Amino acid sequence: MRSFLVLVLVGTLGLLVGCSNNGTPAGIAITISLSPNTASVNAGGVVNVVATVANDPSGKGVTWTLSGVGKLSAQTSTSVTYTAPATVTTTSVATVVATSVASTSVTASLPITVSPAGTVANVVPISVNGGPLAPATIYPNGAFVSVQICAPNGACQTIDNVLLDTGSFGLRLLGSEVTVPLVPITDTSSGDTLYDCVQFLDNSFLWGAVAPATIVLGGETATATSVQVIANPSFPIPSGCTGTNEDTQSTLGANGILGVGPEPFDCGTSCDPGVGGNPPPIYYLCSTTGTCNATFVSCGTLCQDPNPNIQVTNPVFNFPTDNNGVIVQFPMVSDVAATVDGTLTFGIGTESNNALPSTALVLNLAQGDVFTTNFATQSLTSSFIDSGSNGLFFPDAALAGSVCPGSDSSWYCPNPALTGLSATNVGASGSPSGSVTFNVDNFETVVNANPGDAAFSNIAGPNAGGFDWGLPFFYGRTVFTAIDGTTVGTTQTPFFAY
Amino acid sequence: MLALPIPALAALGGDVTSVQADKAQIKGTLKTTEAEAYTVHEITAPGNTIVKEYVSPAGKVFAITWHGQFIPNMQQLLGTYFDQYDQAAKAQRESHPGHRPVSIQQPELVFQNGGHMRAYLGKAYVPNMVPAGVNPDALQ
Repeated sequence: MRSFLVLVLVGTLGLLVGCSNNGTPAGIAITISLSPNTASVNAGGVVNVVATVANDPSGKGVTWTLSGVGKLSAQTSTSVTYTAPATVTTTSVATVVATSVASTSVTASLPITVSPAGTVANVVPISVNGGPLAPATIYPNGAFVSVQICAPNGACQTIDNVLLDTGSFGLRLLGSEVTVPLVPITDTSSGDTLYDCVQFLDNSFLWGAVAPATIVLGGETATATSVQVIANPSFPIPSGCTGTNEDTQSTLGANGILGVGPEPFDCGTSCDPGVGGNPPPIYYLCSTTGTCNATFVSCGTLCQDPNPNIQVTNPVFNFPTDNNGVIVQFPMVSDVAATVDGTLTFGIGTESNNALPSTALVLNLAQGDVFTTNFATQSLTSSFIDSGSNGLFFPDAALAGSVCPGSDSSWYCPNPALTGLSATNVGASGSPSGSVTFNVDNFETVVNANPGDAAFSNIAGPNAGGFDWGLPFFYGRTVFTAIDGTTVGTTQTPFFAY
Repeated sequence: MLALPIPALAALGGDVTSVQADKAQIKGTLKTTEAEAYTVHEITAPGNTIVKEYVSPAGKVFAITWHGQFIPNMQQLLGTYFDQYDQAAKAQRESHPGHRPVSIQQPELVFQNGGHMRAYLGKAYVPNMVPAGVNPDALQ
């Protein structure tokens, strides 16, 4: 026992004696590893870099420098955001260097290949820019993307201001924006047209015919993929599809919705004939005179249906490659920003620029693509990450008295604003877990005080069940969404990771 | 002019008999369980969407909850409270564009609807009809 104590003392003394004047223990080298360790982006692209520093008892982390094109922002002792120049004429390499504060001779570097726009096939720009009604009406926290569609006759067009939504599946476009001749799917025996109904949470809905299209995103192409063409028909919409039709730019706030969440189909087996019983109120066959009947629709091989899938389908799932998910990246937003630009990358672990880092928290999902968020004594088992929700939404008894008045009652208005709240996200199986800190601004104060701005990192509101980690969660993070039924190395799909 | 077929029997705030009307309209199956302060009528709709209607000892539906792949027909479930919900939701949409969960807190109606495509959940209740001793926020 005594000899053990002596040994410990000697060891401690040795450590103190060996300490150099900058606080670094001699003999135990500081190491820095960067995540990601390689990256390639198009002009305007964003890379969020995280440094993990080992053997640094000072805890001082790193400082960041850049050589080559682009700029660094949102620097902390463990993270930085790299943004490539808006345009480059030739491919070049920028290098982000992390230098240990405690031992300046220790560095780690990340080479980033920056290519002219459109060169890197699996990356497209996304922007929180207020949407198609801006500047007159700002869509707060909407991430928008441009989508090219082509009709069966080969005619193509690009539709901008399409909302990027990791909480839904499939492409839906306002019929008023579609100029190429898409041809709706009809029933071979009756000639009736196939329609789709999508209910939103606020008593609004999307109604429109289902038509196959070729969808082009950057250098990726999904062929013969069912899309919903949103339009008010000449006949009454069936009573199972209730509420207000969001069939215009002013009601939808966008030209369409690109659903790239963790499922391939908008309905799946519940709408496939194999399930039996009555069809749910999603798909309808309607005659030209307006007689509509709910119908089953095949989702193909993945649903053990011999008929081909014609449900509205996540276009990423139909790419020939890079088809197992998406990565959404935005730089940090410090409370409010006029606009913020980011990137949407296709595929996970399929290219040199889309690896899932070993440091990422990979949240496995239960039925309904949900994980658990522990927050303020609550275990919220229906939680999810959703770029299409424009705030953070969660139940909180302590905030029940801070709901905004009147028509803003879906938002919190605490006075003063709350900072340093903490929640823990846990995989549906019980592990792994990681904590998230966030703030809650007074919605009316911050939105009214910044009328021209589109990005708000601290707006939140109440929710019935789970924690809905909406777009503010994406600011300053790299968020992976892997699609159910696909393969990402040995990691079980579907998942969210960041 | 003919209106859309609105159910004659309301659900939320209505008599226990309205549960049968909802079951028929939703084309679901029904299961009933008794609790101390209320009876729960559980309807399973196509696509495994579960609707629970909470009936007070006075025989009135004072709360409804739902979860599953689809949002149930609110016009059917909210009955006479539907217009209140519709108008409040409309005012919210017109206040600020954007897609998000909806929360309505009025003296006569509390309503919350959340989730995402293929996984929704929510609840509605009439505060002054909730039996004594029941915490409506805890109903699932």
